[in-house]
Amino acid sequence: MNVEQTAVNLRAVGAAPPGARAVRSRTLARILSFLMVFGPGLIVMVADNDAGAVSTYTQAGAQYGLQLLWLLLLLLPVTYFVQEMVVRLGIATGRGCAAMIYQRFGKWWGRFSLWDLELLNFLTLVTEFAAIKLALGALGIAGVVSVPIAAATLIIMVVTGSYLRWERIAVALCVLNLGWIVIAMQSRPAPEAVVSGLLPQVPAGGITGSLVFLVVAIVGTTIAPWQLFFQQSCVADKRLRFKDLNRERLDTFLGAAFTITNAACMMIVGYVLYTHNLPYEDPAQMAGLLGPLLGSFAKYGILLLMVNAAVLGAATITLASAWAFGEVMGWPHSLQKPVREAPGFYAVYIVAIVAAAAIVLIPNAPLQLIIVGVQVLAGLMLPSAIILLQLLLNDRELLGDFANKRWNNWINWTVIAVLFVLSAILAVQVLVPGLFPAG
Amino acid sequence: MAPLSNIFSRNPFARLFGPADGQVYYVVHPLDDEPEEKCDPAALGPLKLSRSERVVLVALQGYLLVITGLAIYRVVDLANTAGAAILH
Repeated sequence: MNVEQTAVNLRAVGAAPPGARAVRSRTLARILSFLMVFGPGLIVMVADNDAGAVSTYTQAGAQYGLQLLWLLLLLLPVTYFVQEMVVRLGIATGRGCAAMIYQRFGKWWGRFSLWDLELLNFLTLVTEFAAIKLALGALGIAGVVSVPIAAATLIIMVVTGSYLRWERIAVALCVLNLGWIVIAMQSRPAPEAVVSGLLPQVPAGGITGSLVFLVVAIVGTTIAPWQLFFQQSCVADKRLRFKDLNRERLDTFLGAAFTITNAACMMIVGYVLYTHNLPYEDPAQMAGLLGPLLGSFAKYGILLLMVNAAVLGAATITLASAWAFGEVMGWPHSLQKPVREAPGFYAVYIVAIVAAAAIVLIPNAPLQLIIVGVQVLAGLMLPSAIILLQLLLNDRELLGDFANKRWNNWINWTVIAVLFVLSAILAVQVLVPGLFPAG
Repeated sequence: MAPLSNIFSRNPFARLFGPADGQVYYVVHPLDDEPEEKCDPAALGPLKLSRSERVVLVALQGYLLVITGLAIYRVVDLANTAGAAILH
């Protein structure tokens, strides 16, 4: 196939195409074109800073200060290159990752990827609702009230029958994450500590089991399997065109930069506990401790931002599941379709939300076991998803000019090797706890 | 005073909105645009893999088997521990 890419979506002469907006300036046309494409990259990156990420980054700050900031800087290009692969594949094929794996690798890999993703996403969804219950509980709202309201909100967000309406709500939730920057600035970290934290180093105390676990958790939370499936399906549902590739790359990069900045701010917020020698249990407890130190804005801000992170994470993770299921089953699966035209797609989403909310409301639900399950499944899912994706991107017969270049492969295989080792370490560490010395 | 058109053309922001070259540009949202032909794998069958790619896939299957085995071992171990605790 001869793939032609034009730099800007411009038609300078002739009758207006249907649905087109006319502008008189080339620059404004470029800006508008970008804004029309913008969305999937920002949403997937910011949603990655879900409740689990808030917990991981703030814990890193509370335990090791800013000595792991450099790791986030290193993860910025890694997360961009990984997501850029799914952008290219999604635009080139107009299909989601699950469908491509099923079609090109056969039923075994297709079913493994699908069911592992569905299970992992469902368990992660349970942890999101647990975080909503925890954060709003700290604000005095009982779980029997907060969890059903959150579930209803998540369902309403999606069943509007309009991709754009859902995207605008999601982008608004992403923008709320600017609150982390405000709270981090309010904590006034020592500039020299921030700068020195950006330099690669081993934290004081050396390499211990708990440090390894935290590093692996940081990497695993920054690059999560569901992101690969979500962004490719989102790009396909939004019907991005070949000429939108560079704009979507920019969208993805901006999203990555924003999310890494937020992650650093979360670490800086956790750092306040470190400098005051205060214990860390979870983000809600941390918010309570920070209230007297930073003021009530920080305390309530952290709790509400936790809820925001959980809601955004829940929405995107469940959509990734619904899209993947619809793609593999051959059901209609688009946010552009109303419920009556895509009943299977919306049913997967709604059932997952309702089931996860119900589990969290069970007294003494085994949430710690679920968190462990998430870590093990992620250790299974991420290496396989990313390797299959890399093999798909080398399919020149299908993708032509969109296939990986040699430098893409060098970078991607290096990233894959590192992620593979880290995922394996995490999974083994969880499954065989005595294997690594405690720290 | 310079002619209004000169002031306008010197203002960089004017170029965003003003008639820069007299042409009209049409911008179409992806969802409103005509569907384009995509790369379609339907006619291609299974992906053709090189030997090294097949080795990578086999290694991946091996890794998945090991981790799954470890997970089953851990679950059985925990179940035995829980059972022993209940009996005592």
